[in-house]
Amino acid sequence: MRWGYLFLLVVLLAACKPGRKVNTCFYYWKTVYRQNDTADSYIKHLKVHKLYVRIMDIDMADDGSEPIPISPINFQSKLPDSLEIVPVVFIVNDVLRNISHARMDELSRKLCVFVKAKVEQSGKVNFNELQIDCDWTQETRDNYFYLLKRIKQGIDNKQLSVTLRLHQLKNQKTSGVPPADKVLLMCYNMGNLRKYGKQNSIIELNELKKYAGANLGTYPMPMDIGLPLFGWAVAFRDKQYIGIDKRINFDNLNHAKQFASNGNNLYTAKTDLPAYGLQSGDVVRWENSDIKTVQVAASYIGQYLKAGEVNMVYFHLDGDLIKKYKYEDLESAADLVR
Amino acid sequence: MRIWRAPLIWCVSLIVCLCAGAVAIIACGPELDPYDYYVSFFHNNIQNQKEYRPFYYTSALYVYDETEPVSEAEINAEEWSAYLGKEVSTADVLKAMYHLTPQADSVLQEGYLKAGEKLPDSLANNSFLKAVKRNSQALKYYRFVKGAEKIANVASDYWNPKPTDTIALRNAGNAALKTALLEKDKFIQLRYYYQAQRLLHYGHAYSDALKIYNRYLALTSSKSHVKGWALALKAGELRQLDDSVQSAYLFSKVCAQYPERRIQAYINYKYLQGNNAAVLALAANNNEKAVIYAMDAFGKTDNNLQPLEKVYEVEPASPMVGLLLTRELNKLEEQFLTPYLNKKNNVAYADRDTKRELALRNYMGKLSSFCKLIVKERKYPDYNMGTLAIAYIAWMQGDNAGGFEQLRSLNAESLSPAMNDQKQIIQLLLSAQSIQKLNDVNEGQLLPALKWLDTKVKEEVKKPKPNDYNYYDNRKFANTSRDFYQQILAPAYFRQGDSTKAALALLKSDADYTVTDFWQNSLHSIQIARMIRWKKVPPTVPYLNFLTGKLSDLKLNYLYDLLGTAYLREHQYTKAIAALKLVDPVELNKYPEDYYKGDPFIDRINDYPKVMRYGKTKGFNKLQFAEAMNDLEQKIKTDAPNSPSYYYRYATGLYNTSHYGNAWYLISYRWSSTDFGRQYKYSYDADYIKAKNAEKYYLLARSLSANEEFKAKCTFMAAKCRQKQLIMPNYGIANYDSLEKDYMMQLKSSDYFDELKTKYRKTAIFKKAVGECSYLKDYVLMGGN
Repeated sequence: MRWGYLFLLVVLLAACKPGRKVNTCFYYWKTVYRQNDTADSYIKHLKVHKLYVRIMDIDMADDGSEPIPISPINFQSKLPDSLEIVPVVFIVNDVLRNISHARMDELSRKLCVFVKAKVEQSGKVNFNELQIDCDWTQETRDNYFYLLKRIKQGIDNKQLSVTLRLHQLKNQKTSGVPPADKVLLMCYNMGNLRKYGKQNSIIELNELKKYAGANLGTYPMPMDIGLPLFGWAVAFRDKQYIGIDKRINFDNLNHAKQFASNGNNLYTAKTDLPAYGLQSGDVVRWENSDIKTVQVAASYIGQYLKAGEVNMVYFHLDGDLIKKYKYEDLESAADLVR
Repeated sequence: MRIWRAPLIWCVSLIVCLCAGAVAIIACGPELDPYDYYVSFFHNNIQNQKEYRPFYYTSALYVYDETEPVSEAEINAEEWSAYLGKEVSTADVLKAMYHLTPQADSVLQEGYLKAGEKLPDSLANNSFLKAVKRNSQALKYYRFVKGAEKIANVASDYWNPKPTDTIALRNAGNAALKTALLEKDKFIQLRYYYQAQRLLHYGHAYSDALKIYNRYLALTSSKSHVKGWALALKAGELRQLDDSVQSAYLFSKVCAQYPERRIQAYINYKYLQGNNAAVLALAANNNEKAVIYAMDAFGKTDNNLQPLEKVYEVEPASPMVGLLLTRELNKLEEQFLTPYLNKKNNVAYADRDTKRELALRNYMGKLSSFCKLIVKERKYPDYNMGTLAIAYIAWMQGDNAGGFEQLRSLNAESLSPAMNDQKQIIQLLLSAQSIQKLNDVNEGQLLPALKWLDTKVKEEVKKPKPNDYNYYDNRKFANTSRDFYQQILAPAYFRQGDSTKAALALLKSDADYTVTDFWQNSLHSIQIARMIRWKKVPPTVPYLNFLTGKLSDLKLNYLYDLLGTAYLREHQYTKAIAALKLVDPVELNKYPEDYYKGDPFIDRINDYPKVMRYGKTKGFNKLQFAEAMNDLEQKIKTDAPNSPSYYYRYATGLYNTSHYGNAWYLISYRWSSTDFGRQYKYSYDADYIKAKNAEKYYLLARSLSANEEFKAKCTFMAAKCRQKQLIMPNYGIANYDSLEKDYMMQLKSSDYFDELKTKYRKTAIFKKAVGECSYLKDYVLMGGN
């Protein structure tokens, strides 16, 4: 009989997965920070305590002389007390191609000074974590990793996180493992944006599965997760990619006089539409982050992720964007990762 | 022996790396001079359109000149000076407004602008500041703008995290507007309106700024340039508000009317490039249309007649006509003339794109026809530019008769000095081109023009003044002269086989590298001796006297060294001794340095690693080598029994003066790894590259000897010489791979190798050579075929 109880205990213990603490967070990716009631209500309901705020892009100046901040954020309001800021800097891969160590030392120094000043402009005295976002390649890997080390020193050894794209998660040998304290896995923009077809390049489970799986749990660093909440119109002419049309939103596509639906997510312009920069016959693929897909992705990820605390960061906090999502839907996505 | 294989492979690889490296070094030349990177005889400043200098043609820069043609600071200073009265000098206004030291500026702010009392010492006598003090409205305005400087005159620094203080700027702008509305003095009021617009603009309040212009600035009758600067701001505001067509149109107006903002307006206009037809539709008159057509054409490198035709059609008197025409001619020089001359003059790597050449010839025909229209109609004031253009094109096309005819038609015209100069240049070019073969008679006919060109060169600035950034562009006649002698006259002499005159023409061209290269490589002793005679006693024939003028720049040491080297190359050792003895010994020993001087009588199986000397012996300079070779020649005659060893030594001496030896400097002034196994180029290549004479003397030594070892040695050395006569294929040519394979095969096969293997197999030298020379070893291992 004692063996029976022992057996039951073992089974019960085995059935319990180690729990995860999941924090819901948001990215803020606009060039002007303004307080917004809709955004505030989501922050409150979802108990968001951290905001990952894009401070600037870094790209080469037009004359190619040096890397410079592009469109740095302007804080027209201060961040609320309840929110912790995680400053994020996006570095264009080209910057890292032919750059010397001396130049990178200078870049890291300027970057840290700039971020610190911007954080102060946001109303915060300091920050605990800095995130660097860069889609590095095998060619720029060594330079990028050197830069990260310098940045880490420049922020007085605060936490340094970096974004990780799915291909870098899978191909660790060629991509390398960046010298940071943790990574944020971007579970979006995983498909082929520029290819004509009805795929959803933002998020598709089959694409996710090609890269993720066991890699999620075995990656040699703590991992946060990024999930999408955005959509966009991808335009094609003669089946050639011509760009993301920022002037179109989903409602526009339902104007029967302007667009004909091809079923799925493809729409053809019936006439020339100069307001949208489209010609007659151009095809628009509407891609979005359907909450069901996001939830399924979250659940899939939850199966493999290591135990511990994880930040689930939605891209991105825009009142008009997120108001389409119910609080409970977003909450359940977090539950699926727990 | 196998242990030698690795070092040999290393050596061969090193040679290959050196060759590749040399190719890379040659491919990467010095930085392009954006004002002088193609052959040009048609000066771009004939009409002296200084105000349009930024739009002269160069494909190597965004604008030809980055400085605005007129200084905005000076214009503003003049306006203030005129407003405040005679006692106020423009210089004082400039100093107080634009050139204050930080110390003076801060004292001014503290003491003068705040309390209105004392001026800082350095400005105590500044007539502007004294006058402003007496004029309460001007003082008030001056204080206002100095205060606004802190927020408005902020240097652009991408890495400054502080965002623009838009609130302070807007406040200041609104304050300026308020004051303007109450200001009675029209001069000051205009400036307040401008400041209002400017500060709101900087504060990103573009709509408000625009309103200020439209309501208050647009309609004022003032002729002040402030209106232009305000118009430029308006154009910028429209751009920010996404009205790119209207914006581009206004920028074209600013560019046309306000030279102090010309480049700024041009850059903005180009940035907005898009709907040209829409911009044209806004033009209020033909003058404005002409400017728009011209601005669209600036910065373009293609050969397009349309902008020029359009400008002429709407505004035939526009200065843009001459500007665009000159650009088209310069483009033709860059794209047609320079490649054509390079090919004609057999410049290395010269490419000839016959299809493009034909297209450009057609284009030249069209351009010529258009110029005929300009000349005929005389609507363009400087219509004679058309004739000059047609004459020049005729020269480029080889139509001398046509060119002369055009120039004759100018005799009845009154030309500006610059146009006349250009006419003379074209005349010279046509004259030179019409000469089939240069001789005493036609040379004499060229002389007056050549002397004239000399005078023009002398008139030009020689040394750059400090901060004279235009220096490098103020050598038009120097460049014309250089190009004429280097591209036209010297090649003409060369084609006739007259190296002496070619050398003299090159010397006159002052084109350093080409001159040196030619003098050091392409002259024989007879020619150099002649040069020395002429240097000492200038010739009396006027043309020759003129052409030899530059010999005075060459030192006798240099010439005698040249002469001695030429004699060495020609194996005339007694004459070489005589010439080299006339060179200052210090000069003679200067190059190369002692550590690099070799003993040319050292014989080796492998040329690498180099052995310069054995033990503590010294290397040879040219004189010592001449003496040694001369000595050998005597001994060969007087000591016949030992002649084989003398011939052997003589041959070794010759071999070591080759590219592959340790004393190449004795007959060559340069060593380049790309010379390895190259084709014949210079007269002394028989020794320098092919080692042919060395081979001959090794064989002669062998034929006179009965000693098997010695004969084997001669045979091997002859094989070395023969190997140098193979031509190494150039990497990158069409069938390089198969040619390279053949070359490697040839290295391993040689008649001499046959002989070594069959006749001299038992000799010690054969055994040693097989061990040290991998080609011989390969030959033997391959079974000798």
